[in-house]
Amino acid sequence: MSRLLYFLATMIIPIVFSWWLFIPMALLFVYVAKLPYEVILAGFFLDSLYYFGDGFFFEHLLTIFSLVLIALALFLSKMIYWRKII
Amino acid sequence: MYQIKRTNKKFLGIGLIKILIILLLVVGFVFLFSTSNSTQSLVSNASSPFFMVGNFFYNNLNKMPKFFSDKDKLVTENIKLAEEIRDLKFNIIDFEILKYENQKLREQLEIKPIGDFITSSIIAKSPQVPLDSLLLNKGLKDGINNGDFVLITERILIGKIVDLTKNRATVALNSFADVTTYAFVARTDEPIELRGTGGGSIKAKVPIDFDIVVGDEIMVADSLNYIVAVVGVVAEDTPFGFKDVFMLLPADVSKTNIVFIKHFENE
Repeated sequence: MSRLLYFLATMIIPIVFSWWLFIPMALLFVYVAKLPYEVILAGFFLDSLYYFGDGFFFEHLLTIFSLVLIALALFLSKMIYWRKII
Repeated sequence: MYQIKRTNKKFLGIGLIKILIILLLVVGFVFLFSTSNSTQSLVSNASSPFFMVGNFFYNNLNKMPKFFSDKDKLVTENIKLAEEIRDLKFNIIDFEILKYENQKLREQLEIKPIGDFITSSIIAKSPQVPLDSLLLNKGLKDGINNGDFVLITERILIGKIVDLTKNRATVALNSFADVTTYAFVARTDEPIELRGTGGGSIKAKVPIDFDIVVGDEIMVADSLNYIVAVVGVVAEDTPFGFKDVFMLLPADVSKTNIVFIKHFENE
C-alpha cells in the first residue's frame, strides 16, 4: 500500500511543484523499496507531459533515467544490503 | 578420467532476462502510447488539476509575507492603492478612446484587422515545467498547430508551439536551449541568427563589423514584424574577429498568465 502511495507521489509531486523533483524521488524510491519498476512508468508518464527538446533522448529523458536507475539497482541488488522500508 | 561438473551458472543471467522483459514491456507501452492520441489527451487531462494546483501555489508564494505585515502599513497601502485605482480608471477611459480611434483608423486605411489570434491561459510555467517552456490550456481541437507563433502582445513574440495534444499545447520560448530563430535587426534590417541558451537569454555570434548596439530590437517577419529579443550585452572577441551578442526576451514571461497564438504563415 505504501509502495503504491509512493508511486503516486512520484508522479504527482513533480507535476505540482517542479519536474526535477522526479529525480530525487526516484532515487529515494530505489532506496526505500526493492527494485521499484513502477518508477519507469512514472518517468514515462512525466515524459509525455514535459518538453525537454527534440530527438529520442530528450523526448524520453525521464524514462531513460528510470531505466538506467532500475538496471543499476537490479545489478547491485545482490551485492548491497537493501533497506526495503516499504 | 573426465568428469562433467554441473554448475548453477546460466548462460543468460536472471537479471539480464528480467531487464529484457522490462525493456520489451516499456517499448510496447511506448509504442501503444505514441500511436494513441486519445491516451495522451487522457494523461494531459488527468494531470491538469495538479498543474493548476502548482500554478496557484507559485502565484501565491510571493504573497505570503503580506500575511505577516503590520496593520498600519496595510492601511497606508490600502489608501495608496485606492488612489492608484482611481487613476487607473481614468487611464482605462483614455485607453478605450484610443482603442476606438485606432479601430476606426484601421478601417479607414483598410489595414487587415489583427484579430485572428487564439487566446490561451498558461497552466504551468517554470519551475513546474522545464526552463523556457510553457504549458497552455488549448490544443489541437482549438485549431492550434505545431510551429504556431505564441505572442504576449500584438507585436511581442515569445516562442513557438512545439508539442500538442487534443487539449494541451507546449510552448518552447525563443530562449529555449538550442532553439534557432532567423531574425533581423530592426534598426539596420541586417539578418541575424539567434540561438537560445536557456534561462530567458538568447545568444548570437556576428562578425566584428556587424552594426549592433545595446537596446537594439530583434524582429522576425511574418505577415507582420514581431519583436523576439532585445540586445542586452555586446562583447567583442577581437582575436577571432567576432562579437558575442547576448539578448533577452522582450517581456517577462513569469508575470503573464495569458498568451495569444497566431497561425504560422509560411509564404
